[in-house]
Amino acid sequence: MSLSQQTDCSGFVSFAELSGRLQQCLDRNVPTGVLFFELDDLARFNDLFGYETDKRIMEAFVRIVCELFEDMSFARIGTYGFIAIRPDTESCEDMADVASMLINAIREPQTIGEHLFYLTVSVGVAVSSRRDETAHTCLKRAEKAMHKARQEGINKIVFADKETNTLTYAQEMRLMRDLPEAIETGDIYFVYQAQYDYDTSTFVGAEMLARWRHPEYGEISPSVFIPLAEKSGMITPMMIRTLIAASEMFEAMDKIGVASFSLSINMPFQVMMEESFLETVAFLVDAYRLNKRTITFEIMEDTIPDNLDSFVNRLHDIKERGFSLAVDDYGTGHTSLTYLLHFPVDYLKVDRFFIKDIDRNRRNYLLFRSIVDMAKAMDLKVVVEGVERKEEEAVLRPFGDLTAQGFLYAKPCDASSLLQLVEKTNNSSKSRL
Amino acid sequence: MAQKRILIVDDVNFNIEFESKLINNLTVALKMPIKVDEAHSVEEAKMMIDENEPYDAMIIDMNLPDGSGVEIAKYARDRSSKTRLAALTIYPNEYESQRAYFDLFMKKPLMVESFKQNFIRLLQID
Repeated sequence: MSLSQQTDCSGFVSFAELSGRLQQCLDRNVPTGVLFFELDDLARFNDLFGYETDKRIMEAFVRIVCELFEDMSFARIGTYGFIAIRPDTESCEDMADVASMLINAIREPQTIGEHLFYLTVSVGVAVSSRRDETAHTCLKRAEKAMHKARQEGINKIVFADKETNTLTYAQEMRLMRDLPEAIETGDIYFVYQAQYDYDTSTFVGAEMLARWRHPEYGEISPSVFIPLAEKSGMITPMMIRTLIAASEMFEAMDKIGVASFSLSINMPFQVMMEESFLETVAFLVDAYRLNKRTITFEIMEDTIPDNLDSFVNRLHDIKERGFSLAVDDYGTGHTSLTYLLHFPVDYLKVDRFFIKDIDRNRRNYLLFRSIVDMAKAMDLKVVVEGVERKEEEAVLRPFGDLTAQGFLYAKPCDASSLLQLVEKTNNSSKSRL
Repeated sequence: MAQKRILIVDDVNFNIEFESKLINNLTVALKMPIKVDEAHSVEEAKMMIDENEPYDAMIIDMNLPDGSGVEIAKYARDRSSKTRLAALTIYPNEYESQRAYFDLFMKKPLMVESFKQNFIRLLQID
């Protein structure tokens, strides 16, 4: 017998019923509030006390919810999650008041058997009045907010992003469907942000960035399509296209007489860890004459997997094949120093956060200086990101042996613009010498 | 070993180049001479089929500017029952009813290792 059957509570409905009611409200443009709430980590209770206790805690929780949400519909989702909806609710704040009542109600410890249990809950709040939003996306927004609330601590309430900022479920499915074709046709293309070397005053490399010009939706942000590519297994084909585009860029650089130029590519760890990654790369190196070229794979700190041993082994394999490695966004992750100890990296890309206003903010300067000292001691080259102002450059240049990326030198641009820029800058620098 | 002859039909040059390179790479590994011809449309493919001895295998993109890969498969099959036929498509499900015309379905975008594996299956090499 399910929990809803056991409880004598008219608002407690099935998920399908609740989702249907929400959809009806949205179809009629009725502003509706949604709460997505989940008990935190009940598993720790059943680890200690067994499933029977777990069940009784849930029953107690449902009783509290029934009493509080008399005028609302709610349903259970997943193991410890619930959704509640309230029509005719215009603002997130109104829903948050309801959520606060819930949190206050469960602050009272629950007595089950001879034990006292303290429950905590995470709440996501969304409000929608839009006919074009589906119940599904609305619930998803609330769910996402709930996950954020959980990250922030216990008994937290977080408001969902506005509906305008998120893709509808249908749009996401559409993009997912169009992705393979976009990779093939070149709707996914590459731009290059040049990297400037202070010692030689020339451009010595560029970071490759993927872009998507969708025939119907226009430019799609990488923050949208990269995760979709990761989800749908399209990230490896994208990496293949990136490396092939790199080989074309090297060839073009040869033609304008630029012999040494490096390209760096963001490389999600899922791609690197894929079973056939090394074979794929070996094929590309061989078939597209990438050998002896300077390619740097950038690893993002926040994507580094938990299983470090096999990852570190893979990094060594990659190095052995002649690629360079960089830690991207250095300084923003949590365990940067551990990585430096174990990873065979060549470059540190220092996050823009440290560079911004480095001329005005002494603490930024001091921190940056110590990063450079450490990098030098560990024989790592430093690339700084986000240099935007002359004054910032004036502070950075004296460090020497730095490569800089930022709007002050070059914005991300297409292949032909990059070639022009490099030809112009590097030649004029040669003639000065 | 007798040379194998392959026809690749695709309107996207990148794909033809990529497949040719992969096959070339396999030629070395398998120690088997393979010659690759290319066609970019249904019309051109039919011409190649007419003008040449039957191919050992064909890799046919399903979605061509002047028609469907199925047309080519039927045409090739009429010419010779021995030619092995592979369909290449992003959306294999859409061609479910046409499976019978092909020996093999390959999925796009192309991946290095799975292409090699499929190609070996297509040529029925052990």
